[in-house]
Amino acid sequence: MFEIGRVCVKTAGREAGRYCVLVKRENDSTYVVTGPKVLTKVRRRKCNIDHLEPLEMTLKIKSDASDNDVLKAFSDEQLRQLNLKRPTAAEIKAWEAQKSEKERKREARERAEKEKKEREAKEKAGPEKKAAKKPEKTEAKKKAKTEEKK
Amino acid sequence: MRRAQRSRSFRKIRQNTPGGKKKVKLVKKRASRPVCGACKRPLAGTAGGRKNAAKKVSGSRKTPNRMYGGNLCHRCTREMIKERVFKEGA
Repeated sequence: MFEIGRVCVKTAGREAGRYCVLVKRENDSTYVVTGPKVLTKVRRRKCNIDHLEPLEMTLKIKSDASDNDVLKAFSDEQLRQLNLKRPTAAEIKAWEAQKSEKERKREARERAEKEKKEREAKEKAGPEKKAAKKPEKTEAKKKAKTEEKK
Repeated sequence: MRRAQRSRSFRKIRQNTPGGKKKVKLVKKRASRPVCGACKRPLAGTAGGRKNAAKKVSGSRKTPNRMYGGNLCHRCTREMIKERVFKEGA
């Protein structure tokens, strides 16, 4: 029942009773879900399967598709079936301006996390590398010394 | 008893004073808790107390920020949504 592109209704929380689309599978029980927000006021977020009611309708989208791709994937008939209106150009523009700020913040957060992980990995690998390098140097020096003596 | 206290909004309790007299104590009535319209269970996340006390609370604390918030409990809301989906069959 639960697959990427499946249209669902949220049954819990402030977004209860609103339509959303499954975008990405996180694990057995959680999916990333989006309205998108311009269409149904459901934000892009993780959601437990227990809080979703699947419908028969599915969209043709790729895994981790963007909100714009999901918007385009809705046909006019499908929107009519769900009693939804396609947002106007001005609404989409305002939404994208809002979204870009959030995306910037998210990207900055992700970058910081990546750097942190890399630093940690370096710290872990650091002492081992030094230990491995040292004997090489000493061996090279010894060889050089022996050659000089000769 | 003052003139303003002669109203039915007070609950009357008879009390014995240390001097041996009997006195009528006036206490404000207790308000009933808000209840789910379908299952009659007490609603969580709603501002209780008498009307005046409930009014003073901020908007987000009055009712849950959900569809049917303050009228139906979360269980009944979920059932309603599922029923609607089943009927529409979208």
